[in-house]
Amino acid sequence: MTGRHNDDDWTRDLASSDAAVRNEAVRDLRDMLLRGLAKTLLKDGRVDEAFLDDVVQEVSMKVLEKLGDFAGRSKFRTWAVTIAVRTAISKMRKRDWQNVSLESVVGNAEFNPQLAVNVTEIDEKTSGRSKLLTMLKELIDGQLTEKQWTAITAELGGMPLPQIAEKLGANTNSIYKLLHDARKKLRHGLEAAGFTIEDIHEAWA
Amino acid sequence: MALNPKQISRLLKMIEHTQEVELTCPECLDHLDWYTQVSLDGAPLDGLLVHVKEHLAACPCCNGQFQLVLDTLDAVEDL
Repeated sequence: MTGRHNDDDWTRDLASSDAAVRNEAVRDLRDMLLRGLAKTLLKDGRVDEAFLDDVVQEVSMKVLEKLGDFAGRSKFRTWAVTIAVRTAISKMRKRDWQNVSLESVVGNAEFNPQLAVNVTEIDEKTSGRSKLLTMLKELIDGQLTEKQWTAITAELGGMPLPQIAEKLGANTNSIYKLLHDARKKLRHGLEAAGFTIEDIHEAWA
Repeated sequence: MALNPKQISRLLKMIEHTQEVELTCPECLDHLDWYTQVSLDGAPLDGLLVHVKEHLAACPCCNGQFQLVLDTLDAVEDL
């Protein structure tokens, strides 16, 4: 276990009017977050110690600012770690994708159904998959907007949504809605063509 | 440049998991501490948390974040 605080003590001590009590709680919080994130993020070299120090400093401030919002739906430790991970991932994504253009990820992305079908195995399953993928290509070409296809291919290329949104000059919520609408069009189109959810599952599983 | 087979499979998986009503990524992440706690406690998921679960199944970005929260909490418990 880490620190001297348990989940009941954190909110009381972080909000204490006694500066010594409050400062000790902040130190414990920083120590817990730093050691936890170091174990998960430092091990594979994704970040260095300076990066983690910055994250923990930022998160400590956020926790203090949001303390009044803590609703007790989770343990304090779970709440604080969730904020820390969200902050760390956000900073890592910005760092990793800031110099990557949308064009380099998307290119002139095409959907070629033949690439996903093993033509040496002609059986009922392969044939069904081929028909579904051919219909999917028709739907992509006929029903999706260029912006929807760009966002889908960027996501399939591994670009996180906030970075897609930034590069398209939009916010994350609007890009999520754009993608959701695109996926619904494709799903409804496949269902209207007679394919079931089981068929879609079989096609990728 | 054509999508590779892995990307095509992922697109199909995303289509399969598409719901009529979904949470956005920020909405999902706003409830992630609650979802994590209920999951760790083994309590039943209902209401909004069902939508969080659906979102995590369809969104690799948010699911990766959820897994990192679990790993970091595990690391904190071990310290």
